[in-house]
Order: sequence, then C-alpha cells, then structure tokens
Amino acid sequence: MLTNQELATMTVRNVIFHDVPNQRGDGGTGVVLATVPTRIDAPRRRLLTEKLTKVLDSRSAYGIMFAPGTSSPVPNEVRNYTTQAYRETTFVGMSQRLATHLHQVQNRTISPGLLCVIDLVVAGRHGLVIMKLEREEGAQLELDRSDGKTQFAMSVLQNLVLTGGTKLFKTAAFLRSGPGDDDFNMSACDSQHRVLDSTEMARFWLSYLGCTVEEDARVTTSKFFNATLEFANNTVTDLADRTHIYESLNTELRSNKRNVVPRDFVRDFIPEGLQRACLDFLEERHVPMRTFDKDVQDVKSALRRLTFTSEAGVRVSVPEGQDELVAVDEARIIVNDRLRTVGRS
Amino acid sequence: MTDVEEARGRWITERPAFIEFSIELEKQLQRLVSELGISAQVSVRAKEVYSLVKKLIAKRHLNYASVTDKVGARIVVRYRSELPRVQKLVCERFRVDKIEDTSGRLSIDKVGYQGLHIDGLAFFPDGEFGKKFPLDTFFAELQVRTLSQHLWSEISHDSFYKNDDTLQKVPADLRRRVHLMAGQVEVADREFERMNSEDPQIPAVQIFKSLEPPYYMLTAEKPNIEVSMEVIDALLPLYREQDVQHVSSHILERAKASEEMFRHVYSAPENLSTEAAAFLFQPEALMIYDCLLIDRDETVRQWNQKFPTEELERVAVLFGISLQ
Repeated sequence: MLTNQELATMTVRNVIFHDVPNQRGDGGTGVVLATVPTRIDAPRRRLLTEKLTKVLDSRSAYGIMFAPGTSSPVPNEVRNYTTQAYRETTFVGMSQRLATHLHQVQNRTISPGLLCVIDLVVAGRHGLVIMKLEREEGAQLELDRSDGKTQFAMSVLQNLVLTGGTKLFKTAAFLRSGPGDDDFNMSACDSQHRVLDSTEMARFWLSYLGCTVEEDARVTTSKFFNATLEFANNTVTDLADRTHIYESLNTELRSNKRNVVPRDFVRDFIPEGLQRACLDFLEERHVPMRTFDKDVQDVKSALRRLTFTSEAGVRVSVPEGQDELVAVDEARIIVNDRLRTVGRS
Repeated sequence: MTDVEEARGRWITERPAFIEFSIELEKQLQRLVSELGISAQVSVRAKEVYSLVKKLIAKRHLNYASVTDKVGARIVVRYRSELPRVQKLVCERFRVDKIEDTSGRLSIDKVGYQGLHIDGLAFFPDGEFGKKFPLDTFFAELQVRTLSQHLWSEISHDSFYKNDDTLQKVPADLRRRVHLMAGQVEVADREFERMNSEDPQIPAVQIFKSLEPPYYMLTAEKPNIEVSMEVIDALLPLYREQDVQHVSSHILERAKASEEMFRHVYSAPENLSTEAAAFLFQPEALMIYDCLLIDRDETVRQWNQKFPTEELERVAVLFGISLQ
C-alpha cells in the first residue's frame, strides 16, 4: 500500500476525465473521450491531493497487486506509462485506452460514470491514480469542444470530487518503487462493497483494474519463509550451501529491516547456478518478487532457536520448543535425533 | 561633485545587485539557524540610499568603499548559549574577515552593549553563490545577539547614550542610571538562560522543550505555547504511563524516520498560506503525527474532548493520514 509518507509528499501533475456510460446497444450516447487534460488551479490541486489522501488512507482502502494472468490491459498500461517520463500526449492516450476498456467491460449492472486519471509524482517516482466517479442523474458536465479539442472543465472536478464531503470513490493508486514489472506500491478503495464479497458488483473494480487484494504481510512472510526452506531442503544438495541459506533466511527475517525483497535475497544468498531455479520455485509458490512488508508473527517460533556451544566451538542449534532433542551433562552434549546429512563448510 | 553625492549616485546604481545578495544571504542564514533547531529572527537589508548618505555625513572619515555595512545582517537568538553555536556555524559556512565579541571590550566592572560583530561576511568564492556574488564586492556586516542584547542595542541606538563619547557629556547621576539599566538588561539575559536550562518537572513543558529543536529545524513560525500545553496534556494518555523521556524519544525517533516527509510538508508553499492548518505550526504537530500512527481512533477520541475535529483532520491529511 502507499505509505502515509508517500501520500504526504505526493504531487498531482495532471488530471483528465472521460465520460463512460454503460453499453446501451441502442446507438445511444457513447463514451466521450477528452483529448486534453482538465485545467486545474493551485487551490483545487491542493484539495485534490488532500482528497486522494483521505480516500487512499481511509478505512476502506486496501493493498492490491497485479493479478497474475489477468486479461485486463490496465496493469500493462500502468507499467508502460510509469516507466516513461511525463508527456501530455502519452498521458492522454493511455487514459483514453483505460476509459475505452472500462466502457467495454461495464455492463448494465454497473453504474455509469466518469473515469478520472491522475498523473502524480512522489519523490521523483512516477505514479498514476485511476478513479471512477458516479455521474449523478441529470448532472451537467461542462465540456469544452472549441479549437477541435475535447476538454472537461474544472467544475467537473469541483462538483464530482471536491464537494463530495466524506464520500469515498472507487480509486486505485499505483506508485513505482523500482523498475520491475511488479515494483509498485498500490492501494485501492471501494467504499460501496466489501472487497472480498463474491458478487459481480463487488469484484468489478478489481477485475477492471486487473488486480487482486494484496495478502496480509504475515501470510507473505510465511510463504516466503516456507518456500525458501522447501527449496533449500529439496533442491540444494551441498550441505554448506544449504546451511548458508538457512542462516541467511534466519538473519533476514530476524533483522530490524522492515521489508524483504525476495529477488535481492535470492541474488545475495542462493548459489549462482541455482538462482533461476529458486526464483521459479518461489513464483510457483506465489511468493511475490517485489518488496513486501515483513511480519514474522506466523514463523516466529520457527525462527527462534536454542543454541548450545561447546568449549571447543561445536554448535548445536535446536528449534524452539524441541529442547528435549538435546541433553547436556558435565562433559557431553548429546543430540537425541537421527543424522540426516553431513557436509563440510 | 562631493564624495557624498558621488557615493549616493553609485549606491543608487549598485544597490539592486546588493538587494539580490541580501535576499540570498538571508535565505542561507535562515537555513543555518534552522539547522541548529533554534528560534531566531534573521534579517538582512541593503542600506537605504538616504541611510548611506546620513552615515557618510555623520562619519566623515568614511567613504563609499570603506562603509562595511552597506548590507547589514542580524540574527537575534533567545538565549546566550545559542550565540557560540551560531558563530561556529557561520564561520563554517561563510567567509568572514573579523569577529568581535563586543562584551570583550567591557572590563568586568563595566556594563553596556554586548553582542557578536562579524565583518566581511561573504559567500565562499568556490561555492554556488560565490561566483554570482564575488566576495571583494558583496559582503555584509553581521550582528548576532540575544533578545535582551537586542533590546539594549535598539534603545541605546535611539538615545544619546549609545557610546562612551556621548555618554561622557551627560551628568554623572544620569550616567549612573544608564549603567544601572544596562546591568539590569544583562542580569535579565543571564536569568533567561538559567530559567531555560532548569527543568520545571512539568511533563507537558518537558515534552514541549524536547520538541522545539526538531520543530525549529522545519519552520521559524512561533507557536502558541498555551495551546501546546493543552494538546500535549490531552495526548499524553496515549503513551500509557510511559515516562516523559520515553515519550519524547518515541516522538523524536518517529520524526527522524519521517524527516523527508516533514521537510516536504513544511516547505510546500501551499501549506504555508494564511489558510494553513493551525496545528502545523505548533511543535506538538510531531506528537500528533506520532499519536495518529500509534492509535488513530484513540487520538481522535482524546482530541475531540477539547479541540475541533476539523483541525486535527487538516493537519493529519498533510501528514498523509486520513481520519475517514
């Protein structure tokens, strides 16, 4: 999710609206695509930034991630757009494609409305916000069609977004955190529906975005821990390498670092020849490759180990809660377990 | 043409460039004071044309080139202990010709004007502004004083008792009263310093004082201390019986970790308008941020007992926090 600090330092660069009615099939009014961003003054730009913060940090906001194998073009649009420097023509073109896609998937059960696309920047990192605004019945949308352009007026922003009081909108924010396909901090908000409801209306927003709800940090941390251990146990044959992976994994998760980057972990601690296989294995186990917040709650006991060290430097390390595996008397440390493997490091 | 007339004409021509220099110098001195985390008034001014004329008339031994305070800068701090800190940083960041501590002029049985005078304050030639404002032309005279020293300086400047020459001409009894007054100002100055360094053993005051340095690193805006005391008292229960030192450390650590965000918030022009969030310009803004991240609901609950919710919402949203 976007952090408080990211929201506080966010700068809105440009805003564009497109009118996206439902597909009528009767030759009625179609989608109205703006060709020029809406002009906004400084006070409204500030109010918009504040509104985005209120929405994206609200209780109805949740973390999202790009859904693997989605048919929605939104993830790739977001990926491509945010790797480039800002250009108005690129911004307009990308937003028009997002509106066209919304029009294609929005059937009669979904409320028609306006799609608002916002270009933003946070500490030099490029980002994008997509907002779906419901169009009040009979509401007039001020549209300027002079000089061959199509441009929604600032009053649209004022009336539909800024004067909504505490109203929350269907919103999604994507902020680059690195150059990779999944290197984003992402948040979404959908006030009308519980996000995990299975109804079509509840799923519509995420399905349009091509995203899924980001799993809890506890779950991700646990998946990363278990998958890495599984890979080490089943694929890494050299005992020294395996021990190194165990120790590194333990250190990584017990460190004061707040995040884990699996891709970096693989690069730093998995033997070079096995790195590709490890990445594939983690992906197969649905471990995200990008940064995730660390929460070791579910693996805490597995990380805690009791270590016995002899005078000569022999170390015996026991998982927490299994102290009975080791007996210590005055002259000996006895391990009550069967030998599984031996290696030289 | 007289020397004064020539100097007048030259200053009219050259003054705009010195105004530019003053503006940049003031920014740099303000930044320097912020780095120290102290509250201080910083001002830099290029002399008015008429002031230069009057100076040249009053001090006939001077000419255009030898007037060293064509640009005058001043830093007024609150406490005496802040003077050496300012002096040290000024000497690190600027090229200076001469530093004089005027209290050194006074023997131990004399009282009178005190303060630091720094002559020939200029940008280093190899720095960003050194090329634009070469030090052989663009330099200023900087005075660094406490508020009490400033009071004495300002009052004496407007009277006949400014220096020993004029003072010698007044009757002995009046002269004695001038010295007594100067002594009282110095006693007040020293007493303010002592009071500031003494611990009043009041939790809200202790927390407030710990928040002042990081706050003044972000802004020079003066807070309302009565409001600060009330807010700190209202939010303290969120720290569940922790001692004051722990509370302060918690807030300061969080502020340090969010330093970049705070710098952004306190420098964004849109946040500095007259409509700015009232609690942004209070040192306890750092505590409000910490409390909102500790327990948003409880912070709102405590806040609402005494203060308007809208004001909390206004400051929270600037810190990227929604109360919705």
